[in-house]
Amino acid sequence: MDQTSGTAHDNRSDLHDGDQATQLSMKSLRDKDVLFALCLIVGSASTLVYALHISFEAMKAVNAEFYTAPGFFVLIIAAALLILGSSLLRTALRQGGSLGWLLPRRLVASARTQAFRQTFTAFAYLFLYMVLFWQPVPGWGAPMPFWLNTVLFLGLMMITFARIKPGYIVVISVLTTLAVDGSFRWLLHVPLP
Amino acid sequence: MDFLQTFGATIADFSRHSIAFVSLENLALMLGAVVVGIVFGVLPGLSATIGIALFTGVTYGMALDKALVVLLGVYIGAIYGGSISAILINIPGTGSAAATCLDGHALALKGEAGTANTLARIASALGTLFGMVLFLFFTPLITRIAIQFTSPEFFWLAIFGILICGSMASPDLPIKGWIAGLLGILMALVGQEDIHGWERFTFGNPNLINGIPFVPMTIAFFGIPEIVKAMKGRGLSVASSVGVRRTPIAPVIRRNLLGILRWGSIGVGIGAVPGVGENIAAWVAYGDARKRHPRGREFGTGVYEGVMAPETANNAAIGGSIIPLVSLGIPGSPPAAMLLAALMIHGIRPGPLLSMENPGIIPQIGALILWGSIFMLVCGLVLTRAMEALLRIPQTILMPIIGVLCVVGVFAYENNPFHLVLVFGFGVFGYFLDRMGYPAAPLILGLILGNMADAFLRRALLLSHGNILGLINRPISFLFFLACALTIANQLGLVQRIKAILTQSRGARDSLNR
Repeated sequence: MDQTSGTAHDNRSDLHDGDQATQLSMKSLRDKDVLFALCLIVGSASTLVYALHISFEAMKAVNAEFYTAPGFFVLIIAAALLILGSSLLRTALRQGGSLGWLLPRRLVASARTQAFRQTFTAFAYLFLYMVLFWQPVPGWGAPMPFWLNTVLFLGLMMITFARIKPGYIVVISVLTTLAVDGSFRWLLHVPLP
Repeated sequence: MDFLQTFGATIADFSRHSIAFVSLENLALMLGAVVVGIVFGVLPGLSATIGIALFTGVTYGMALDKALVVLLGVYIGAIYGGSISAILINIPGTGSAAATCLDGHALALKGEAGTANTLARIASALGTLFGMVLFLFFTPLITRIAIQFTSPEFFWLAIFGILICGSMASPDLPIKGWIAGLLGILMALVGQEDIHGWERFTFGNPNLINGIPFVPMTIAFFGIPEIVKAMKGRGLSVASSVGVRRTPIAPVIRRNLLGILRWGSIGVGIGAVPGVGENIAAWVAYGDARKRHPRGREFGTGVYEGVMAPETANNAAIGGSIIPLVSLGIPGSPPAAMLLAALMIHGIRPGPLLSMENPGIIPQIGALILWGSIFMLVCGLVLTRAMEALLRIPQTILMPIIGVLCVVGVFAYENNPFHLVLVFGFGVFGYFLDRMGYPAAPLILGLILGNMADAFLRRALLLSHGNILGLINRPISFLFFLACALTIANQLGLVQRIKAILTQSRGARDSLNR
């Protein structure tokens, strides 16, 4: 009997924790919605002005009617986005969203979380990998060869995120690079840097 | 009668293409493509859309018929492949296999993973073949109707596609789907427009004059967010695909033949709705199977029909999603949108005129679907064990490799480094959109259909001298307009409110009468 009630109690507390977690993530979602809606309103208002500007310019330059001008459809889409952005802002505010999370203290706190660090690092590696496809390496004067760039990218990603032995990382990186380089360059005849 | 003659001719052409397909090169290409597709389907985070997007860049230099072999092979393989991970690790490899998790994994836990895998494979093959038959039957029919479409019809059709996709794809608020769709349209409007040759949103950058290309954007919005998310992931526990118990498959298939036809029809029907695709089709078929099954309440505990229904429907949706793509130029699903992009890259403009400009293309696609499903059956049988091993590889090792493929795929597309800049920028944007609950599918659909909607709207207004009624004064355009209006009203709750008011007024009238 005791055991049963204990389990039921545990289940209830689990449920309660789950509800709280959902509420927290929903609150966080609505917080982000507030910021995104504000960006959307500002962005779509600017697009609206831009659409009017190019429409009037085209009406003068190529004698276009307003409804065939290049900004006409842009204007409709920007207006729709403005309405949807306002609607999103209203919904987000009604459901408890706010901009409190943008306070410097809270931003610094969230930047210190592991999730943020992992996201930032993954994007940074991807950025470096893409940039080194064509940008000359400082001090080298030429872009990095594709194979070296790829081995370095794969190695860095796996050292940072995967928990495997360094020997495996080297083997996987080199084999993958050989396979990709070989199949694209020789099999599919796709030129690589 | 005339239509039956056309259908007969299509079937004859289809048979010819099916036989002509048999060459060593085609068979090898299809085999490779289906295997790659299955791998993309099996690995959580990857999808048919990413697979086709990657291979669109790779097939850029190929002849159209070879490119179609590769892309359709990847598509068919990926939609089936999702079921393997759904059954073995309870994580759908693709969104379309989400419904398969419920009973598929429950069967695996009972020691029937082998049975569940075989059922999923056979159901997928039957679904694909059913979709193919309906594709061959309906595409010429719809093309005949679509040939009468003018600018307003195409404008409303594009808007309807984006609206319905936005409404159904959003995991959070429905307006988020619409916002994503509209952002996609805005992105499509970048570059030189069709009517006056005016540059929009280029800001003097010559790289933007031709617009934002959809292949790199698909990788940015579908691929990059998944790679970054996977880096924060954990290991997976994989069930054995062989299992302990074996159930004879033939009786299960025999007693569900009618069901397979029904789920296949659901798949084709929903697959043909612009932008909706396989994911929704699988859930609707699962719901249908559960409702009609005598032990419906046991669904989720390991019922065979719970695996067969979604797998039949999501594979039948392949044929369904290609029907509007070929006949109207509107893709039925995100992977079909990538096929549209691939066809356009090869100088083919899908739409009502396609079958006139390329008379053999409908039966040719049908033949490729037939061969794709045959290869899927064989590869699925041979590869299940290998896929099980693949699933044991941590995502933190696999996803960097996929990252390399994504970057190389984008670079291979036009050898333009600017595309890498776009992919990174929009990849970051796509990651945050995904975190905030904005679906990528309507955005990509908006990107594909945006220019078409713009050009057709302005042409329609030009023809009606600016009279807005010119957009709805034909029966079909009025029907499409009504469909758009109803979709918006339904999502805003207006339909429900009107129903409530009607019920209230009826109640009040009844009480007065009494």
